Amino acid sequence: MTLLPMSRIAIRNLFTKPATRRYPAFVREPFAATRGRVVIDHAACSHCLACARRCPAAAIVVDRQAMSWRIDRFACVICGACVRVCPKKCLAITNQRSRPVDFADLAGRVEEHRGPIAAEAPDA
Amino acid sequence: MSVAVKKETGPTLIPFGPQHPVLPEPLHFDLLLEDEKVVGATPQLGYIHRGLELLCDKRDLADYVHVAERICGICSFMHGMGYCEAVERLFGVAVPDRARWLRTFWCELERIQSHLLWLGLAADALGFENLFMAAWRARELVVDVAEETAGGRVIFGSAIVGGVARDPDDETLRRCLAAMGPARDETLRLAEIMLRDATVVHRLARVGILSKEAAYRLGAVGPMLRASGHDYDVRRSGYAAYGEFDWNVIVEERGDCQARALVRLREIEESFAMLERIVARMPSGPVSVPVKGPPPPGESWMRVEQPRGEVLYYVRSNGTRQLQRFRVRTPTFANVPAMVEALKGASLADLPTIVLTIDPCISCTER
Repeated sequence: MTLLPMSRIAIRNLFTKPATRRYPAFVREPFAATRGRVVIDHAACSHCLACARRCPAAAIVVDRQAMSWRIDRFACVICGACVRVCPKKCLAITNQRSRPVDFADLAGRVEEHRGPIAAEAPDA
Repeated sequence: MSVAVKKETGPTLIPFGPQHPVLPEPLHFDLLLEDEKVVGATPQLGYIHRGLELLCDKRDLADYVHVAERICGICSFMHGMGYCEAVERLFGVAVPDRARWLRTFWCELERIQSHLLWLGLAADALGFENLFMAAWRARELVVDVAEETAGGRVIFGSAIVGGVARDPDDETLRRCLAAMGPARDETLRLAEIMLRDATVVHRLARVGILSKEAAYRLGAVGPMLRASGHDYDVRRSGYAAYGEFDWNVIVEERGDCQARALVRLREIEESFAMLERIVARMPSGPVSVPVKGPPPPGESWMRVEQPRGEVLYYVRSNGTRQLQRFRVRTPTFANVPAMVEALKGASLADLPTIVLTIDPCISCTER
C-alpha cells in the first residue's frame, strides 16, 4: 500500500490543458467513418420510395407528386439502411453531424419535427 | 427522574434508492439493519421498464437490431451482435470470416470501455473524484476508436443480420491500436492506484464477500462469478471468432470487492492484448451476406459474454419477417441474488461499494 499514489497524476493535471472542449463553440473535426447524418443528391433521386419503405425509424417521407424527399433528423438513427437500398446511389452518410438546435429557433415548428411526419429539420 | 427508553427489538427497515447519489440508475432495496449491519435486503426492480421485447413482433427482424442495440448504452454492440447471431442461427446462415473477426474486435473494444466506465463510477462511489476523471479520460481514447472504426461512440450501429455494416481497413485498425497505447498505459497506472491506495484498499478488501459455493448456487455470472474463483467464461463457447485465437480467462479467488475490481482491471489488460492478436490475424474478404426472405418457423438462442457477464438471447419465429418472441436475460438480472447475498453482514456504509462492484446495469435488466 502506498500513500497518495494519485498525486503524480494530479500534479501532472495542473500543467496540462483540459481534456474537454467548450462544445458547441469549439467543434472537433469528426473521423472519416463517423456516422454524422444522411444527405441526398436531390438531382439524382428518382423518388422511388425504396428508402422510405426500408427506413426502420420511418424518418423519411418521399412525395412523388411534389418530387420532394424529406427526413426527420430527430427520428433518424443513421443506420445506413437507406444508403444500402438506394438504387440510384444518391444517398450517403457524411461525417458531418447536424448542428445542435436551439428550441427558440424552432418556435412554432416543434410539432412538425416530432412524430412520423417528416420535416426538413435544420440541415446545416 | 429517569427517562424510559423504549428498547428496540428486531431489525430496522431502511429504504435504499431508487434515487441515491451513487446509483446512476434506479434500484431499490428494502434493507433490514441490525445497528449498522445489513442482515437482509429485498431488491425491487421495475422503475424503467420500456417494453423493448414486445417491439419485436412489430418490426422487421433486420430492423429490430437497432432496438436490440438500444437495450443498453454501454454494451450496445454486444446486444446487437447477440441478437444477430441468434437470428442467424435461426436462418442457418454462416457469417463471413472477416465479419466474425470484426465482431470480436468490437466486442473487446466495448469490454474495455465498459470496464473503464465502471472504474470511473466505482471511484466516484468511493468519493475518489480524481481517479473517476482520469479513468474517463482514458476511456475517451477507446470510444474514439469505436467512432473511427464503427462510426459511433456508444451506439456502434455496425452489427447487422448477416454480418457487419462497416468494414474498417486493416491500416485503420492498426492505427487505432497505436492510438489506444496511451489509454493502455494510463489504465495500468490507474489500476495500480485502485489496488494500492490505502483508502481504496480499506474500502474494498474483505468487504462484500461472496463465497465460491454461494456464487455457484446463486447463479452469479461474469466478473462476479470469476472473482469468486470459478473459471467460467461464455466466450469459451467460441462464438464470433473467440474459438480461433488464444486468450485467458481472468479468475480471482477471494470473492470480495477488491477481487471483483481486480478481475475487471485485469480483463481490461487482457482485452488490449486480445485486440492486438485480433488485428494481427484479421482475415480479408466480404463482411456480410444477404439474409433475405422469412425465416423458417422455430426457435434459437445465443449466449454472449458481456462486460457484466453472460447474457442470453432467445428468438422464436412463426415463419414471418416479424419475430414472435424475443427474450433477453441480462447479466445484472442474474447477479441480483448474488448481490443480495454479498450485502448480508456488510455495514450500511459499504453498501454503495458492494452494489457498484457488481457493475449493475438496470436499464439492461428491465429492457
